[in-house]
Amino acid sequence: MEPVLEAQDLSKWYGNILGVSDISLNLTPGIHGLLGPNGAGKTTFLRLASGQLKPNRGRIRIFGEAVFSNPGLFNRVGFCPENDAYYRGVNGGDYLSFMARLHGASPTEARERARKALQRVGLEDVAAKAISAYSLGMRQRLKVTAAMLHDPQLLILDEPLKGVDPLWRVRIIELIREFESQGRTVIVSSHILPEIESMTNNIVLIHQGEILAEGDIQEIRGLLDSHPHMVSIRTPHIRRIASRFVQDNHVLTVNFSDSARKVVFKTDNRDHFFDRLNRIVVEEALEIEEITSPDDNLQAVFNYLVGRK
Amino acid sequence: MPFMSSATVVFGFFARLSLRNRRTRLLLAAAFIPFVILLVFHLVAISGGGSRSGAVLFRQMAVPFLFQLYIPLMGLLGGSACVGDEIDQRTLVFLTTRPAGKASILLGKSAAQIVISLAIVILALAGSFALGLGSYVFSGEGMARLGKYLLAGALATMAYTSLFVLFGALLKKPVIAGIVFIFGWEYIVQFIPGSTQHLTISHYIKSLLPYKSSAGGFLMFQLEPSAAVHAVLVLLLLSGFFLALATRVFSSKEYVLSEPRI
Amino acid sequence: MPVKERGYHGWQGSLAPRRLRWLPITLQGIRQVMQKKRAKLLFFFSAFPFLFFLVAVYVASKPELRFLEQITSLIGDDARLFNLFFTRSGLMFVLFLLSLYAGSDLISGDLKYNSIQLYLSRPLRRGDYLAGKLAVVMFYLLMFSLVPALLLVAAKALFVGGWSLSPGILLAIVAYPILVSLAMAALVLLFSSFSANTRLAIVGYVGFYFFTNMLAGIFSQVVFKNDAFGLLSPERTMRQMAALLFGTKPALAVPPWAAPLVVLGVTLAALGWILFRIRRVEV
Repeated sequence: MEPVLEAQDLSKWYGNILGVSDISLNLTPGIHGLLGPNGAGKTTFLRLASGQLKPNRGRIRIFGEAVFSNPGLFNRVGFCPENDAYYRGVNGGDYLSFMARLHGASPTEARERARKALQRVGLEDVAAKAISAYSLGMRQRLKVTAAMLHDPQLLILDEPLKGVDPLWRVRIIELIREFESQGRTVIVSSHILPEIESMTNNIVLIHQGEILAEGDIQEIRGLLDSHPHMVSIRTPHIRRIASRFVQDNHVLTVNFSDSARKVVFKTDNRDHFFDRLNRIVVEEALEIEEITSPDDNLQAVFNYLVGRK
Repeated sequence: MPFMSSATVVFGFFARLSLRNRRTRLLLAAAFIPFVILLVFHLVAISGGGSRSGAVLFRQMAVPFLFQLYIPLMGLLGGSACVGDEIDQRTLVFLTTRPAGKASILLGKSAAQIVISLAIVILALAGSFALGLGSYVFSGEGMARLGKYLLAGALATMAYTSLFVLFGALLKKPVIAGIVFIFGWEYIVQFIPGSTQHLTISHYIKSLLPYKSSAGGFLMFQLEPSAAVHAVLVLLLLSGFFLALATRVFSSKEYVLSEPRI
Repeated sequence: MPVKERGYHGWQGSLAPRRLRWLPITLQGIRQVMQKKRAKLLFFFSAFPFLFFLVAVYVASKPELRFLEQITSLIGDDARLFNLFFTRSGLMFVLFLLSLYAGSDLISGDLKYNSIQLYLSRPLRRGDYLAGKLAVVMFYLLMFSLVPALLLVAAKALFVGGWSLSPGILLAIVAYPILVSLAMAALVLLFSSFSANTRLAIVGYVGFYFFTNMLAGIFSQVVFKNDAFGLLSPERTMRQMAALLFGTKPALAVPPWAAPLVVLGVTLAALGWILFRIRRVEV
């Protein structure tokens, strides 16, 4: 499948400060989460992808075309920047109409598109209100819907949920999923891991300007052989279970809490551990209330990779 | 999107925005300072005070104020803001991530700024002229004279605004550079012998003004003024050249939005 | 119980009996100005009036350099020397540039980034905030006016080999730059407080400076032929005040109290407006 976004040896620096370094990436249709702490290089990468910055080295292409100074590409690309910026003295409806007109819509078409876009994010009642009077969350919703205004094939969203209230977070995530289900591509960046996890399993982990890992969360986790897996079991019989595993060579540490009725194992062989657990539970008729893998998530993956670096 | 279509859309949006802008209201008020002074003078003259006619006051106060100070500073403020405002407010990204070429964006914004500035200058000049010269305005000679002032004002507005659009696109500190140009270069060059005055915008503007003085001050010439047609052509060409260069620079440059432009 | 929005609130507590609450603002502002690009270049050129007069004072003290009479004849007595230094050496324009450089973004920057609320949610009053900002501009203005003047006093004493200044002249040497710096600092902060847009502040201040000079010339010499209109110009007013303080012949035929009254009035009006402006953004 042709990649939607293709970066090769992409590097960008600001004077002595490195933004991104030697990034090579091919993104196919779907939702891709760009993840990293503050200052990792996510915004720099997205600015390169949206043509705001020129690479110092390497190249970046979208739909096979160079991005910088290629305005025609934005017929197919929508971008939602991170900054809380807006034009003073303009209302939401006029702003979106202007954006629609920049895509070639007639004045009537533009007003209609603006109306629908505002409805999409629940801002139709404040269309005539100045953007400066909107709350931060409302301005964020306005930006997201402005990026989707022209039904682009690629949507690039830089921290789209910043400042948005919990109800609208869910709604926007639904919108993004709906968008992707129509065969389009979304690149969404965040430093908040649960947000990304709720949208996609395809992630690109970025740290200090470099890509640490790329792909499915579970696959990345599986590749981290050097890090033991954690298994947490909540049961009334914590000491009995603990005693059955203590002598197992694949179990590295055992921690338990009487008050929480939890025992946490660290194992270097997850498959062997679960196999054994099944047999023990059946043999001893143990009551198990909950089994979880606390580190089988993005946070743990990220922590391991950052710590390794 | 075709170049002229996107430039027109940008022009329309930013012209409407400028009309509601506080800065435009302040500039409009400042442009009428000579008008207000002339009005006060008339009131004082009616009540027995004052010693010079309104015409002299127009020539020696309104003209230097508008042409030497107001139009260049308005051009500086408005011209540098075409790019500067987008960077300071971090809204540049909203324009450059749409299928409108950067050249058409800058041209549209500059045109909006020039049109609004022209309207202000023409109103202020015409108002001050009418108040200063009274019924003379309605004579053929008066109309012709007013026409010359308006032409000079319009061309000065276009030339200075275009120059400072270029400064705004090119420089990190366009306002400082602009002040150095207006009060440094254009002032000092008057006293340098030779034809260096041809390297200023003010020389060509002065060449278009109906009243020329050799007695010193703003309208002083070290050189002979240029022919009117020549001055008009030069000012038009300069305006076009500065704008063309500005769009070229703006199209190829990258702007880091976190740095404010003063 | 309803959830209330908790933004920044003005300090409601008591103020500790600590003097100089404005000092941290001033020190921070001074550091920020020093870090601006080309600060050192501007300071270098700002020292030129002082260097010229230093040479003149040296030449005047050396009999063997009497052939440079053209320089020494300019100087004459102490009152004339310091009056010229403050008003005719280009120092006024230098101080104008310094006030523009140091002060144009002091309040407009705070308005842009909504920092005034941060200041006032600390144990600071509006007056402390204003005093702190004033002190930043005055620091740089005094550094290039009062300090060089005192260095000239010292240089004169050293080169001549004795003390010749009267107490009145010494008082004028100290008082004049303080009054001028206070007035200029108040004016530039006034323009800075008009808008969050620093560009507007700079152009406004520059426009005001040149326009008032222009207007004063036209009104006093052409239209009304009355020296009182000369007081429209900040420069001419300051020169008039210098003549009063140093006891030299004033350029404008106006009552002696006129110039100080104008300076005081404009300064107080500017400070009053700034305080009003700060109150408007106060939470």
